[in-house]
Amino acid sequence: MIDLSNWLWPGAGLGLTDAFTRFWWYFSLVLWLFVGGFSLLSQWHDPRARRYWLFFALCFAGNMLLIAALDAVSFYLGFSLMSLAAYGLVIHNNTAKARRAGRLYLQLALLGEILLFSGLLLRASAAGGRYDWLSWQAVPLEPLSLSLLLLGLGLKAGFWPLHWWLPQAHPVAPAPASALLSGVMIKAGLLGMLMFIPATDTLMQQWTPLLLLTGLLSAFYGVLAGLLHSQPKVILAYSSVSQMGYLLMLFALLSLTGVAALPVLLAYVVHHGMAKSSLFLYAGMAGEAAGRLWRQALFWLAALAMMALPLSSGALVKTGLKTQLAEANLPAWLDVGVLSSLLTAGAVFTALLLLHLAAQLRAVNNTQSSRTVKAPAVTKASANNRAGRWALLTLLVCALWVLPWFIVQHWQLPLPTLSQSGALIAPVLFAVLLRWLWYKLGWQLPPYCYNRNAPALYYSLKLKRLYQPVSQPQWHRPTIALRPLERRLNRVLNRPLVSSTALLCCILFLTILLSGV
Amino acid sequence: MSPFWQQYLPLAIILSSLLPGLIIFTLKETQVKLRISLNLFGVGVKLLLVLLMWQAVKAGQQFYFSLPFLPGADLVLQGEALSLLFVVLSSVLWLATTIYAIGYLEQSPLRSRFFGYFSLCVSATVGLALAGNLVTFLLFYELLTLATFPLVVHRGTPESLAAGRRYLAYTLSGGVILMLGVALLHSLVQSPLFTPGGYVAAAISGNEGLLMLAFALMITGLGVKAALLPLHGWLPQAMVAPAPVSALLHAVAVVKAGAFGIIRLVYDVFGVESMQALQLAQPLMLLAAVTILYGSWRALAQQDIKRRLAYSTISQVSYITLGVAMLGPLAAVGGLVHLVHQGVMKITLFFCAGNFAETLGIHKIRELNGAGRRMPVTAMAFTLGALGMIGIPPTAGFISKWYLGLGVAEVGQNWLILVFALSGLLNAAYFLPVVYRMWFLPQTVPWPAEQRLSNRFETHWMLLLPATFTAILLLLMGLFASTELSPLSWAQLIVEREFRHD
Repeated sequence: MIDLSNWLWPGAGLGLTDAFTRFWWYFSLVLWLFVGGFSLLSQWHDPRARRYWLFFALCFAGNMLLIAALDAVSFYLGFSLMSLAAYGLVIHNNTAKARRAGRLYLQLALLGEILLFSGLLLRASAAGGRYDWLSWQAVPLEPLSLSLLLLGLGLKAGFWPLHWWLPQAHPVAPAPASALLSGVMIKAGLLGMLMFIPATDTLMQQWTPLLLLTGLLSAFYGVLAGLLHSQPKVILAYSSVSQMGYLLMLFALLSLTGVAALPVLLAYVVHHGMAKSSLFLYAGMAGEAAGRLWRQALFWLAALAMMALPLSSGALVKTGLKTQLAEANLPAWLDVGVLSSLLTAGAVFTALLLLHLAAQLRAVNNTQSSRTVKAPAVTKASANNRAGRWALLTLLVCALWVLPWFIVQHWQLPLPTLSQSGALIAPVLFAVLLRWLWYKLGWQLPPYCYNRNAPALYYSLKLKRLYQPVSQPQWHRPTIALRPLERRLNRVLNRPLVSSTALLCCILFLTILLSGV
Repeated sequence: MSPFWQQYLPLAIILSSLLPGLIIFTLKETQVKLRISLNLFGVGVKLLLVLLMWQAVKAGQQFYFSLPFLPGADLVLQGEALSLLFVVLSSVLWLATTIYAIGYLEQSPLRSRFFGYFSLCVSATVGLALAGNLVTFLLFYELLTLATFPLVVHRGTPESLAAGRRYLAYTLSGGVILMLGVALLHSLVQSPLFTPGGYVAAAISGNEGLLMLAFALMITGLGVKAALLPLHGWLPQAMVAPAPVSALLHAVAVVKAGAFGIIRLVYDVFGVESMQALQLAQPLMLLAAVTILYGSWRALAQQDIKRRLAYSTISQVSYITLGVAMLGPLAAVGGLVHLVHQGVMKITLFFCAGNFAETLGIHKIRELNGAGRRMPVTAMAFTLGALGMIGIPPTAGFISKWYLGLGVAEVGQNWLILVFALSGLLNAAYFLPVVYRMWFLPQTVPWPAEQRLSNRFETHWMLLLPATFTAILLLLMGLFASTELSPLSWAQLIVEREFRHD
């Protein structure tokens, strides 16, 4: 641990004190460097590459800082650095759509920061002026500070009722940036919750069922909303909303089952970070995969890992989630059986969403390949660039599939048994069947249900108009014109002025005389 | 250093700017070099003396100098921790502003008059900081009003004359009200030295009404300069003054004089216990909270850069008042440290606004599109200042907000956190669009009136250097807040001494 409290702000300290943070930090570092290497290739011809790298570096620094922070202020510094710099990544493409999404993102990010700031203040004050979050663990939470922390960090984590910016901001950012936004940065909100909300707190334990249900709702909402969209990156963003729901459930379970859920949560973060990053990277260059089987296979490998096929990292974490849920001592009104069957239904939904994504990606491929038939032949340099990007993606997907073995070994997680594997395959098969039926029967909702604009954008514009009015409201204050009144009075008094003054003087003189007498 | 010297040190600090100022008045317009060297000599001597005093005060010494003035109220200059906070702030920023003003007013007429009054203004500010009792404070307070008026109307345009009239009307009547309050208090308890913990406690019983009246009168008088809510009208108009004057007005001299007076009044005249006994803190707190929100709200609608900054000042200075009115040690640290932080941040913003106006002729916010590409250093300094105002770490503004917030939680007035949150959001809403325009929007129309002031830099180096200096300063104050040199540790020292009496 590096103690900086005599140099920087009071209480400042950095360090990776436990195995958990260390692992999180190294994982984030590796993913950042990896995607950084990828964007070295993908932003090669970008005319605004300098701006991209500036914000990329700031985000990177912020993210690393917030994980290594041991005190609230350092965390807040990293958090706000990351949040604000990510704005530059979101609007990087500088289209009208990107600017709109960026505005919404910035508004929500600032709101989240202010909420987090207030929450941290209350916590620091309750802890008697100590800023290191390790000593906050024993301080009981109050409802106000807990909800402030949950809202402020949740706006970054992006689970269901706080997810507005995700489906807007992720699709417009450059592919590596959205890979990082979804893969690492939204996890910062979750990390903050882990740090600042002690799992053993009584109030937190009272709120746990609520969080569990929110997570479940978020998991379903993300899938259902994603199914109604046809843009691949929007679908991926909604998939992130749904996956963050699962992570929120794990976070809630943490205060019911204790530390046993922690390795599962960590494994889930790693799994989702890598799988979502590779899917986003793939979606960014899906046009180049047309007709190349190996490249499309990469997509399927990543997607199958997310669908939790046995032997994949997804299988590991989904089984872990189920086991944790079964072991948790839930309140009586939450039935474990119903919950675990809901989880199975959630697996079906996840698989459905990914199949939908695959269909949409294929549609994009078809349109793009039919358009690029007459495109000039690629130069050698850009062919190399392209090959390099695909090689990196291959590496990432390979790592995603090798990962479960490493996690199992390191955290001593149980491997899914045979029956559990069967329970994992069934939802996927069911989803394939459902999708096929859907396709065959041509089920469609009315067209206005698809690709709807989010109301959040509308309200964001409304809000902007509130603080940046198009036309200034002109209000004239009623002026009391004293000068004309005075002039008129003067005119009236003009003639008798001398005589009246003389009279006044006489009266005054007389009074003085009389009073003197 | 002999004790004889020590006695005259406070006086010497005031004279180090007063004498050069008086000499400058007699100079001819063409004696540019002599004037500049006199100015810089004054600044240098003052900084040196302040450094001496700072070291001694840190070691626990006190400076005291008195002259017979009125029966029962001497002219007292006193150097202790709190006064030194303000003295250091004004001396350091005077250095920056002097350099800026020399660059800004190159080629313009009436410079002798300008720099003469400029020095007078700083002397009055420093005197006000060093004042040891209320009567001395009042004297310098009035001097400050008179010394700043010629600076506000310096341009001599009808607009600036109107602003000057308004300024004079507000501040003179404020001064009269303050004098009434001081006189009333003098008749009750005399005017002894400012003492930590206040000196009215003995006279409270039986005089509650009169003491409350005196407090209200004095707060009204000080509130005119500190731009508390109904008395803020002069400030947005006074921004027609030249940029260095606005910078000094908003960051150090006038507005801060009011805020500093409120700090003195609450802590060293009335004291925390008397404030609580008389229940004076709550109304002041409410007034400050309303001013914070009102100033931010009005700033949103302003299209002129300097006007927006002026309304932002109204809001930000009330943070200081609020921190003082909360009567808790942590809140006091926040308020005191914001006195310094706000000064440095606001002066940066005004320097930058002046740079844009001088170099490119930009006065309106909508003309700023693409300015970041043309003047990257200035735009960067402006961005840092704006982020500081919003309270984003690691700038100085975050530190003061953090301590103010801790103070709120400490005294248990949780609704004030809402005020801070709302004000932070409003600050973001009126500063970030400006930053966005500078960096992210392309330039669409030619600059209104572009001048080439330098071949090497984006603008004249004398304009660029002060802005860069204060921008770096505000970053350093935020980053290295725990070091001994930082305003934060000095504020903690003051609060330790102020609250130690009980």
